[in-house]
Amino acid sequence: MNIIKLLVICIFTIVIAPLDVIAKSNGFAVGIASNHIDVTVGFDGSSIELFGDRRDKKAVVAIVVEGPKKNVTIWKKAKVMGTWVNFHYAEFKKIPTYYHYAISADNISKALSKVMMKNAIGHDALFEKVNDDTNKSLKNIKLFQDALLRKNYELGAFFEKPAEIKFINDNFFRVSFDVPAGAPTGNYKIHSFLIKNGKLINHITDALKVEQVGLNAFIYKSAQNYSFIYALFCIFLALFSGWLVSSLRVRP
Amino acid sequence: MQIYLPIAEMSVPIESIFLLGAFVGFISGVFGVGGGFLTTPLLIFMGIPSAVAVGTQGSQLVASGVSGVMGYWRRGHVDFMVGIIMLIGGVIGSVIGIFFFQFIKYIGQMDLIISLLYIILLGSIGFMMLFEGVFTMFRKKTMKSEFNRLKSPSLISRLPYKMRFPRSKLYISIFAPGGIGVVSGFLVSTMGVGGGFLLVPAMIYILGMPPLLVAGTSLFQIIFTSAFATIMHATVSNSVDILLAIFLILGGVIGAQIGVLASKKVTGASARIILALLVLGVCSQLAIQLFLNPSDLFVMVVK
Repeated sequence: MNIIKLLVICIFTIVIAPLDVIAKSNGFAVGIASNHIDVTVGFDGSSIELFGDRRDKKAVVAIVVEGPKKNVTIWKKAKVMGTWVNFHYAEFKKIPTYYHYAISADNISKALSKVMMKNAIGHDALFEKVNDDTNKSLKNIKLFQDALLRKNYELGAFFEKPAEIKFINDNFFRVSFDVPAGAPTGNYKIHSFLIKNGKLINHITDALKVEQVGLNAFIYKSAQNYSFIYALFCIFLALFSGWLVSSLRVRP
Repeated sequence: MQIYLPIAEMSVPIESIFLLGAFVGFISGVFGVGGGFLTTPLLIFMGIPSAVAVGTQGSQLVASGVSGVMGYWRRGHVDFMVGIIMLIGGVIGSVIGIFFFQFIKYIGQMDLIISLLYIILLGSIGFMMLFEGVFTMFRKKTMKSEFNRLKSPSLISRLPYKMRFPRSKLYISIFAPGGIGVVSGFLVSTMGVGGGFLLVPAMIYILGMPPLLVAGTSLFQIIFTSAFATIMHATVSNSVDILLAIFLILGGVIGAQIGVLASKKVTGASARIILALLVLGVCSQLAIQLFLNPSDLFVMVVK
């Protein structure tokens, strides 16, 4: 175990935490092991590994990982003429397509919760900018918000429990965020916050790209940029395989 | 083994896609049906977005259409004239279908409308086949004796722009085969089914075509109509997943071979009843979601 700790600290000190950086940034530094997640044909999920250092061991560390933001509509079905139809809806603007966070505080004080709400830390903080053009009462909106969270838990894009910040000693820490196979591709942002006495002391933003690579990237880009040629290729492939089948066919 | 589908942007177990293709291929080998009406709902049950399921199914139809039409073509059982008029209708129907598809996506009712269309479609095919199977079993006589060629209804004969189709020995308005083509194109682009089960009786009863030419001609036009629908889906909504198509086709090839071998042993009324029950099973699964209490009242749509 000690060897692993040592190794982690070594990697950390060599790769991501030159001392002057820590000094300049109010005693707070973080680094991600890789700023790129490759989605290959066999992609079956991955993780984002983050290492960090805080000089003040009383300060609270919070990390947020956000996928690309999109507008989300939540529909609630209602029975119309005996059929369940998407009927009521609520629109939420700029909801991350992936969201995971970690916080080192065990008890969330009122002041801390305020900072969390302001900086989009935690699931409740996601709905600050809720678009209320649906004219729903607060209680109703909560229903739709809960549904949005639940749907994302089911998708594996959000996580019911925050990730754990593991302290190697009083200062060094590491966090591992799961990235499921169904995670959306695009530009991710990693926000690292240092909070003390209900005040935000430091905020560091890192970028991470989740991108299809190799054959997948080739197919995806062809389908996007050369959709006509892509379609012709699909048809050619279908024609060829159809012909192949007919010439191989077992004749009873 | 998991495989990441580049267009559906999700990871699926490759075995299940392969088995699904093989299963539908088996069914089509045994019963001589396209099987598209099973593939699309089964893909949706697996969690593939309905847009990708329908879009990808088009290329699958091209493949099964080509493999089917070759035999008829060799025997000269394809009326190309009727086929070409039908496929012109099919292109028009596909365009209407694609816009209808985009429209229901826009108003947020895609799953509902696709499910409803499938319930109507599968329900009617299922009951027709079940009825025919049971009927045949008890009467010990095939329904085919009643499949006599009928005179085209008077309404059809009054339509303008008549044309001579020498291969089928017909003199009818181009709107009749064209209209059937429109329906076929609409089905391909909104539901990902070739619609042979609908086209074949329509061509016999409405057009009055010789039954010998019907299957080959309908397959001929389905190839082009579904190829066109594939181009539309790929360019308008980027919803054709070539990896998904490859594994479905691969499974289908193997399944169809086994199906053809098995068809020697399992033909007859009882097999038809089994297929009918299968179709009705898929249909009721969709109906439960729509008419009984759904498992989840909420639906999430990301734009």
